[in-house]
Amino acid sequence: MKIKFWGVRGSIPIPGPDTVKYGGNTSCIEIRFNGIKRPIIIDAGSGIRELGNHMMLNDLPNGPIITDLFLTHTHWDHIMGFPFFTPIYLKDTRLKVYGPASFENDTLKNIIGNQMSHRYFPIRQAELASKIDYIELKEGPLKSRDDNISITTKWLNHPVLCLGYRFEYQDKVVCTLYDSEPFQNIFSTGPEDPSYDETMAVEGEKTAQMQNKLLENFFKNADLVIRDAQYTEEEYQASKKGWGHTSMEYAIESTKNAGVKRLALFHHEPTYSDKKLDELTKKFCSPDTTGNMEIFFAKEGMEIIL
Amino acid sequence: MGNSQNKTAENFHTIQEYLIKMPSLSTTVTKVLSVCNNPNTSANDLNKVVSLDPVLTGNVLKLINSAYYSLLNQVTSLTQAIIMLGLNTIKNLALSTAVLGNIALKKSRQDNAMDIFWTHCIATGVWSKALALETGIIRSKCEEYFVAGLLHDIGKIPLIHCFPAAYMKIVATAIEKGLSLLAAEKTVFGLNHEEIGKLIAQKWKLEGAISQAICTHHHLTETDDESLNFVERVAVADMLSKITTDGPEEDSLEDIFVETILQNSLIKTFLKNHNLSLLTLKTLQEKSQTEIENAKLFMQIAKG
Repeated sequence: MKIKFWGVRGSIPIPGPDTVKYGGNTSCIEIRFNGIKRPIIIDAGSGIRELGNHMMLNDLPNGPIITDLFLTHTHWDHIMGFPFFTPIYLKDTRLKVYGPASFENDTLKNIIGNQMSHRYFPIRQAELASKIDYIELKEGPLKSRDDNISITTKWLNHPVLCLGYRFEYQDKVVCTLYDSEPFQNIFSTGPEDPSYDETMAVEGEKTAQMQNKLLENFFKNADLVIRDAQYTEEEYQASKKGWGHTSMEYAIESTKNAGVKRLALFHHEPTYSDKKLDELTKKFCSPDTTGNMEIFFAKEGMEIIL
Repeated sequence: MGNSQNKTAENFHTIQEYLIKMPSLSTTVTKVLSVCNNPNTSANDLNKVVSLDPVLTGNVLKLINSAYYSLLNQVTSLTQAIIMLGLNTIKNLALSTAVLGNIALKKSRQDNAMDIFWTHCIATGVWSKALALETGIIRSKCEEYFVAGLLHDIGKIPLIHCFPAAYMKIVATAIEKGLSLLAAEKTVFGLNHEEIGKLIAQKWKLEGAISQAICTHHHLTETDDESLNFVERVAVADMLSKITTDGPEEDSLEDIFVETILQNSLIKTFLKNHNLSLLTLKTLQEKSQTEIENAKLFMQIAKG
């Protein structure tokens, strides 16, 4: 398996001299599998534009582009690059877009495709030449794939329905776990609070613990985990609770005992410069503190071979 | 015959159309909007407001249970659903359900019927939970009893909404003449509220005991064996709720309560089987009454 990062930034693209090293594009990851022509793309953040151009140069000469796009969720920074993914304008392209549907009774096709409506974009979805199929996902193992890639999904804790993915192929495992916050008991636990309810407090605690345990099982023994680490613990505790992201400290602590070989810290906070990320690398990723698990901050353009 | 079949098909179509976008109850919509539009709303308040609206509760359970390819154990607890889906998703779901309703400033007769219906749902939920607790069900399972009580009559909502005048008329006639409401619904609309409840349970992907409570609370002989004990508590709660909350005011409670209970074979058998005394039931009634009044207070619904 070969994994390449085309966008690693959270929230919004931030091009400029301060983000040259780690990159300013939002989420997009490409996975290629030995012996399988069809690559998998995770998320259509602004990074997918460059990936599309790369595919036009390197894949198209060998035949039509056939690929699967797995969306973690439909927040803007994860879908905004879609209209700029050039292969969708070619008539022979075959694209399958997988992702969680919203609760609003709207289809994935509308949610993604309606970015390409007159008010937002000069080309309408209906005018696209390629054949695009939309498949709405739930939690659990995906069935009916015609290759030997095993794909399982897991609901994450984010302010919209959001999925983590586990890809397994030829004994190698890669997991994505963003955008995600550790599950918390959000119910009042102080009996002095007028709205305190003992049943809610107890069941809330039990549910949060169980969901975090299920999350750990989901990425257990993975060769690579790509994990949300948008904030430091201090930032998270101060003002980012409930925003749907994980602190670096929590991401590292809860991954390192799960038999994971490599942890890519991902979805970088847009206010972080290269200098800041270098400092954080020194703090969190030096070999004498990481134990058996290799930890690094994902960089745009970085390739990992498993 | 042909006309009656046509009428049934037409009513069925009207109800199906209504079910596609079923709004929150007019009784709860103002409170739902105020809680969910407040950025500082606590999880406890959100849980409370959702748990007091049968349509919202159904929609939250539908969302959580339709989110999995296979879920061996259905989620029947709002507390669990709120943690798993997150505050934001629940708030947005609640808002989108609430705004489907037509928020009229002036209360219509239909709204008054809905207020009465809402009180009966809450009372049955409260009674179901109280009976479960009293008969040895573990505390963590009791929320499911509340939900079942809350939802047992969900099939009446489309009838109240789609055919307000006709429905109120048959309810009044059924009470006056002591007739079966289910039979009257079937005759007039071609479908009774248990059958409509079944359609809703399917749409909300509710299975097991809660679905059984919705579809068979008037026909325990048709309840699945594994859900029978559960549904029996809900059916008894339904009766007790009718006797205590929908009936005359407190001053006549003593006499009417005891008298009516002794006439009701379902309640009598239940009390005997579970070794419950009338005194215990009266204690439960006082507690339940307080809980119902608190719910009304929370929803800012005037007493009486």
